[in-house]
Amino acid sequence: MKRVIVQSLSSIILYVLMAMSIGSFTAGVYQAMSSYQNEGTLVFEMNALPWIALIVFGVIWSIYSYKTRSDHSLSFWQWSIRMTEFEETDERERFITKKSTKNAYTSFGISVPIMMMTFLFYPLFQDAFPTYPIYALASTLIISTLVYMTTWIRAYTQ
Amino acid sequence: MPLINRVKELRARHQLTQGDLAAKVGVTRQTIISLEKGSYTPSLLLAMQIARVFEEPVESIFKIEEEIE
Repeated sequence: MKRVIVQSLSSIILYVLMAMSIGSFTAGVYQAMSSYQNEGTLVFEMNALPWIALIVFGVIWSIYSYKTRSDHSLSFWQWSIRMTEFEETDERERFITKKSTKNAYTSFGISVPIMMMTFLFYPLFQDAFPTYPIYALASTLIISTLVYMTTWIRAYTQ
Repeated sequence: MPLINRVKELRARHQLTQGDLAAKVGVTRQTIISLEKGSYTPSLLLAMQIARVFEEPVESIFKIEEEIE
C-alpha cells in the first residue's frame, strides 16, 4: 500500500511541477509576443524555478523508484516503461488494481467533459489566465490519480 | 452470495501464523487477513492451494453462506 501511496503522490507532484513549468514557459511566450506586437522588440523572460524543481524532483523520484522496484531483475530501461503503481504482488492486489483502474477511468469520463465545459468561458478570462488549458489538463490527471490512490487504499484496508 | 471459510480455525489448528500461511500459498499477509475476515473471495487456485496446505477438501473449508442456513 505504501508503494501505491508514494507513487501516486509523486505522480501528482510531478504533474503539478510539469504544469507550472510549461505554464511559466507559455506565459513567457505570451509576454514576448505582446511586447513584440506593442514595442517591436522581442524579449523572452521565463521563471526557471519550476523547471529546476521539476528536474531535481524527477531525478530524485526516478532514483528512489528504481531502487525500491519490486522486481530487481528489471533493467533501468525495462523498468522505466512500466507503471510502478501496477506492481502487484498477489491476486488480491491485482483485483484491487483492476477496481482502482476502473474507478480512475470513470473519473476521466466525468472530469474531462466538465473541464471541456469550462472552456466555454475561456475567452472571458483568457487574458487574465492564458495558461488555463495546461492546468485544466493537469487537473484531470491529478483527479484520476487521486481516485486511483483512494480506491486502492480503501480496498486494501477492507 | 457471501463465501464463508474456516481458514482462521484451521490455521490455528495447524499452528500457523498468518505470515506462514501467506508464504505457503504465495500471497501477502494482508490477503490472509482479508480472507479470514470474509471481505475477500479468493480465486479457485488460491482456495485449492489453501486446501492443500490444510489437507482438507476445498468445500469443507469454503462454503456459500446459504448452504449453511
